[in-house]
Amino acid sequence: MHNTNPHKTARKRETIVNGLALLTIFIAAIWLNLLGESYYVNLVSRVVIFAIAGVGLNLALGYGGMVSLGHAAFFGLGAYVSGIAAFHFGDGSEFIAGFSGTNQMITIWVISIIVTAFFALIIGLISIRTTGVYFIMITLAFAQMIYYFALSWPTYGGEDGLLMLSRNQFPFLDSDNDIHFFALCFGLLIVSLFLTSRIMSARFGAALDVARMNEVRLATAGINPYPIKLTAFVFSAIIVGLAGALFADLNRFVSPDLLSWQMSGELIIFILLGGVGRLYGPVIGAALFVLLETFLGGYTDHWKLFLGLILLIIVLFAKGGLIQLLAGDKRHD
Amino acid sequence: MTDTILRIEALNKSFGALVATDNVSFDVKKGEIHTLIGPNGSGKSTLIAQITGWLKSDSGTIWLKSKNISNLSVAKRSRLGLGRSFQVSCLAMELSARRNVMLAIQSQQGSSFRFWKAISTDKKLTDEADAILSALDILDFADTRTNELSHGKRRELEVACALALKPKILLLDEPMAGLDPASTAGLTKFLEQLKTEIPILLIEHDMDAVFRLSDRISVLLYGKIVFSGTPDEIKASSVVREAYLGK
Amino acid sequence: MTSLLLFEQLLNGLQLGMTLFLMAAGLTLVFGVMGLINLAHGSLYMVGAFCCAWVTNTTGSFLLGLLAGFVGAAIAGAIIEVIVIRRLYNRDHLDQVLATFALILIFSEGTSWIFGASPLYLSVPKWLSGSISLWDGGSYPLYRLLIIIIGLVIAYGLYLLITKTRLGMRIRAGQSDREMIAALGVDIRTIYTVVFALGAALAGLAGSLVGALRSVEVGMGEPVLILALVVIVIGGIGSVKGALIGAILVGFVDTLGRVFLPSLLGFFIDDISSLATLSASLSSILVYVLMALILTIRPQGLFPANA
Repeated sequence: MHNTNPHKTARKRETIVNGLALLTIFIAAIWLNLLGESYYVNLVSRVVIFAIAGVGLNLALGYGGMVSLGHAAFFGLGAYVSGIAAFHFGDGSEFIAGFSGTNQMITIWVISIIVTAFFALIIGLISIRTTGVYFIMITLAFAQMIYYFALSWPTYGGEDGLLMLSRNQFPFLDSDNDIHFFALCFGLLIVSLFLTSRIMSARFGAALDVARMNEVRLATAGINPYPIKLTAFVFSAIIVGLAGALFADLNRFVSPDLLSWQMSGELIIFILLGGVGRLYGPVIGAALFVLLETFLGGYTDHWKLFLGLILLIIVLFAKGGLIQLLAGDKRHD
Repeated sequence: MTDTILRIEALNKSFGALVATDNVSFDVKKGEIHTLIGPNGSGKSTLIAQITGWLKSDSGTIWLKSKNISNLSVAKRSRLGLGRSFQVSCLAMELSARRNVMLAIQSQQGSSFRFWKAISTDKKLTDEADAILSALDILDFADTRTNELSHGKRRELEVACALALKPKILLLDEPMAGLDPASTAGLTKFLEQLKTEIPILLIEHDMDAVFRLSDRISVLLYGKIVFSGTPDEIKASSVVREAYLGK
Repeated sequence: MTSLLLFEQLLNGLQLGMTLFLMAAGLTLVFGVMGLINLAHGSLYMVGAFCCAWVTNTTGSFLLGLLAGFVGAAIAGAIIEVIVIRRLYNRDHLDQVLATFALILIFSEGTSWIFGASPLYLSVPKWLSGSISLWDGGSYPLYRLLIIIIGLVIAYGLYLLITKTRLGMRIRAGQSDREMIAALGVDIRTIYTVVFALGAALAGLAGSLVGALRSVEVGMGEPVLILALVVIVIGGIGSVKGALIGAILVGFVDTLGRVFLPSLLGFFIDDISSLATLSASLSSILVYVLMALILTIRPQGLFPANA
């Protein structure tokens, strides 16, 4: 048992880093709200929503090893579900087949789950059969399909996007109140982190891990990699879709940009900055991204040049992201 | 017939003009170790790939007991009881030895679509894993990361993972490769005891072990089985001597 | 629909195909030989276009501009190969995607910083802006014809390079067994740099040629890159022949689809505005539908290389 002590301290360090991350975000929001800085409160909500999206993608990419360049499809789909529901609710019109609009978040989330799961199933069924590079390009291609579709559909704004009159409603909260909305997002982040952590420590997670590390070992051990990966892909799409729905509410605006390859890239960046395959990687990564966007972006329009340089350095020299630097290697037990 | 655990019937596989498997038939019976020998390039890897499910044969059938497994996936064949170890260790290197074994136990115990209960505290998995590791005398290394294990320990871990499937038959691909004499002796003894419970299809180059362990030996040459018999018959055969053991 | 219109559209499809081939050839070579997926290929397209525009406007010669585009992109390619790309050959695909994505950001913002946000001016030079007359009073732009010819010449040139030269032999050898070729003492690093620079040069040429037709601006390369990725998925990753056939196929489907889809849909839909909307949406996704169809039948693409 001489190995357990280093294991335990490393795990403790990571837990502390994770806890601090959440605490910092929470306190920041409360404090900024007390100062009356609603713009900045929304900025913290933006961090939280990006974090949820990153947690979702991390399931497929970080844990499942499926490099998807098309997850913006799910982010955008969730956002459009939110936007379209609000749109039809606002003018009393119908969507299709008698479905009228709604402004209830819970209903919208259920619809988002169904829609994203459906598309993820189709895209997954075709792409997951393929290996490595093909998978990357195919997920990108499918997202592009949905992007171009949204771009040319004038009813919902097309290229200009869709404005929402107000945020959708959640029981007991006033979603137009920025700190209430933050609390809602934060709650969802906690839930998604908790669920991901449970899934990954259970039998499914063990299988998914090995599906990423060594598919041949998984199959030889008697577990078919394909359904495991497909399930992870669908779960990941659902979480990313919910993040998208929240994002639409945050900005009261949806546009095809949310479906673009650039958005897919940003989702991957959130994970990379924090640490690929680390539970709280996306949380820290999203925070770092928004900080750079806000403060570096304040100095220069070309802040993405520096983002690119930082990314390059991380990929080449510090693959584990910020969490690796703070809390050391990933533990597997 | 109920004595035959694995039966290969008229298997054929070609890659364009290259005939890798040429009408191969053989079987493995209860309680025996049937060894396949043959020089490099004789088509052993292709044959194993077809038996385990990585390659689809052009024609022929593979039976595991009374079940036709020719069209089943690799994972399904493993679950049905076809255990196998690899010539080059194929393990999850970042995981501990125990975790590698737990994976096979998990599949053997049921579905992997379980999302709630943590496996690290699941005694049904950990206890059984420890039992198997102990049977192979590597329990001390249960928590060691696989990439920190020595070559010999990794070979033993591979066998442990195969055993964790509660297999009906074991397909061992050069398990002695790279082992020192002490480990080779240990593994040989282990396999001798094991064959009474689980028959073994062995692929090996180490001739001492082959002649010591085998009940039957088949010689594969250019994709064809040119001779099949007991170790004594093999030694006496001129066909084999010419083709394989050198003049 | 006249035969003239059909012929014109076929030529347009071929022209798009040739542009895509120039992009796809570099992509598929780099993947086939080095096993690397390079998302920054679109940036090299853009660099070529900017070099071409700048040199053309400074010197007044489009030919010099084209040369600048070709060489400029090659140099840019060689530079990033030495500094960044060669560190990625042994890494997994995620790392390659991330690093080359980071390069996109650097190139895009860098270019925008140097040249500003508005597009550069580049147009087809007078001596190339005439047309060839066809029958029935129709005509086809000379410049587009030139692109087609250049594409075909390059395709033939690549064929000669790969099958008849020592470099080509090394490329093919490198394709089938990287470790072996390195063990033989062939200077693999130089070959890799040359292959990468060659791919970059072709992308730069494509960017320069198309830049005169469309606009030269930041972000012009990515849509073409994505189409080129579809091309090599359809054609089979690693195969230059596949890239050619895939490119022509995609060129035809996209061009002809956009032209004839409205008429086709018109049989089923009467309402003009929904017809316009639906045609526009569906035209853009035709290529992806084609890709999905091909993949369900042949998951490795039409002419998979052995990689």
